[in-house]
Amino acid sequence: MELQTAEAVLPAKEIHPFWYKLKKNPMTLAGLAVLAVIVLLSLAAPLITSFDPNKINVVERFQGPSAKHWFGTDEVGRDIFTRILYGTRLSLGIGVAIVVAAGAIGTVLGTVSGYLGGKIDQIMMRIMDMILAFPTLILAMAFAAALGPNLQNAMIAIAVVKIPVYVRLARGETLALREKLFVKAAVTFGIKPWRIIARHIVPNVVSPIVIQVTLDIGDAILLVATLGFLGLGAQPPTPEWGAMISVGWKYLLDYWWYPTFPGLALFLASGALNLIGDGIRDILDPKSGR
Amino acid sequence: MDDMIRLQQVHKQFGKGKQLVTAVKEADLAIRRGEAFGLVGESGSGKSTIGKMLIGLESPTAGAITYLDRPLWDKGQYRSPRPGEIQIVFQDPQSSLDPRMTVKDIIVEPLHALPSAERKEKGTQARLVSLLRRVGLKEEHLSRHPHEFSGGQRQRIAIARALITDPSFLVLDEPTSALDVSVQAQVLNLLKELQKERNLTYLFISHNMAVIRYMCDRVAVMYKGHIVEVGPARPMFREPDHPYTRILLSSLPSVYEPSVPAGGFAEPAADGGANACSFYSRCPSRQNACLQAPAFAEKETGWSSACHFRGGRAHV
Repeated sequence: MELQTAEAVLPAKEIHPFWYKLKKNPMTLAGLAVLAVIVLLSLAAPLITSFDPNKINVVERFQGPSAKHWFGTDEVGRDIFTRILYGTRLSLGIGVAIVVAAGAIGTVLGTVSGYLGGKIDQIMMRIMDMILAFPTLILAMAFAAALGPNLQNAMIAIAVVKIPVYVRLARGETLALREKLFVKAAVTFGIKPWRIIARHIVPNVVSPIVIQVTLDIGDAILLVATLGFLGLGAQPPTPEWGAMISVGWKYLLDYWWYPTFPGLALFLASGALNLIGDGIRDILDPKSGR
Repeated sequence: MDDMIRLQQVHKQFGKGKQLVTAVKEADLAIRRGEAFGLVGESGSGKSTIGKMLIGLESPTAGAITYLDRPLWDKGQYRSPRPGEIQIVFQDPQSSLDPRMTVKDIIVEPLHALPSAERKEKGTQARLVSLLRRVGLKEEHLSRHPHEFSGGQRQRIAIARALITDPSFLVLDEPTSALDVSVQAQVLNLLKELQKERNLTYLFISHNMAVIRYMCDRVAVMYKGHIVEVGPARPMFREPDHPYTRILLSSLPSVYEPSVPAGGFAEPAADGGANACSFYSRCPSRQNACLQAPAFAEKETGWSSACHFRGGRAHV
């Protein structure tokens, strides 16, 4: 009995508070588990399936799910399970790359414009307002269409559309930080503005940015897939989830497995990432009291 | 007279139009080399604003501030005499140290404003460690972060940071008012020793008369943006001239010197009009003469006050 109370009083001593809070957040744990499985499967793809994601085998086209082809085959006989596994690398990688790029650019723009203020800030924020005024998807489509339909341009388009969120976030934090005494102290030492931004402002805005990045990865993957679905992203035969769904939905009525499984993969990955992002936000927020 | 800093008719206004607030009015001051000059006053009296104008955080609306006869402010631009020549220690060591930096990075930060040769010369590990020891910290503290320290230790870090550039003039903006009383004394002693060792000149801003009495050679008293009295600390604490100084001092318990007779603010009276003495509405010894503001006049050598009467009392 005594032992039990001692254990109950001192749980936080044994584990880091981050993991302690994580343990109390089952949805986030579930998200992490799903994401871990997806990542592991995609990394181990060559060990799991013996098929080539791009090898055409017309003889075996449109085969339903079976022991040989778990998720069936597509219109030219490629194994859909294999293509989904290889597509994971692409879709997740692209999602992370887009959001990290947008986060980095947005942080730089936001901190500089927030710290310097004045006309630069006004112009910057009006440009960001213009981008924010459009629905994300419509603007991304317009950019991607204008730049030309390929994966790289789709990535650029989505990154551009994502930047304003980070600029606003970083700028808001910067405005608060600018009034902090340690920044004022640095000003009195005669430190140059760029150095103050790099040494004081950026390190202190990073954590809200990181939270936003985790929340946005799932969204970015969805956007890439959407552009792919609309024919503005990855082009066939690249095994990208959106492109697979784009081609597959035409066969939905006759061969249901073709668009369904890539869609499920997309659903699982973006759902898991959203859960993780929510969880990290709760954990890092000292006021959440979990 | 070996004046290091001189303020002549310095004004500072904040805001515009109806929200115009005058923080400092017609301030005349001279701070001598090697002294600890105290600046006392209640909250909002403008004492911190004067400190901020000296280190470049606020620009004076009018008037001249000179450092060794060179103007500090030129058309709203701060002209530092030499990077690191004037340094500041802020009131709140909690927020004046960047929580994401290590103690080492915090202390050497002011060096980044110096030319690279001087930066290398002053940024040696040996010099850093000896400075750290001098302010009462240990070498192993260098890699830690501010939140691992107590308030007093943090203020020691802030002091080390201010001293790394070998300044000659230090603005101490209420350096101990955020600390426990027991720690206050240690930090004050440290500041006093450092002043002797390094031949520093201090502008010591505080609302705490006891701290000022302990630290300062000369004192200026501010009330609502006006400097109402400037004089040598010891005689002034014994026999203040301005009624406001008298009220401030009567709040101070005294062990050795006979304490200044108790007195309080008068019942607030109607504003005496635009020309009246700034202290008219609350002065316990106001007279009709006070409806005409007194000049800030020298009563004795090096001792001036803005009151029509000697000793702050009409009947004297």
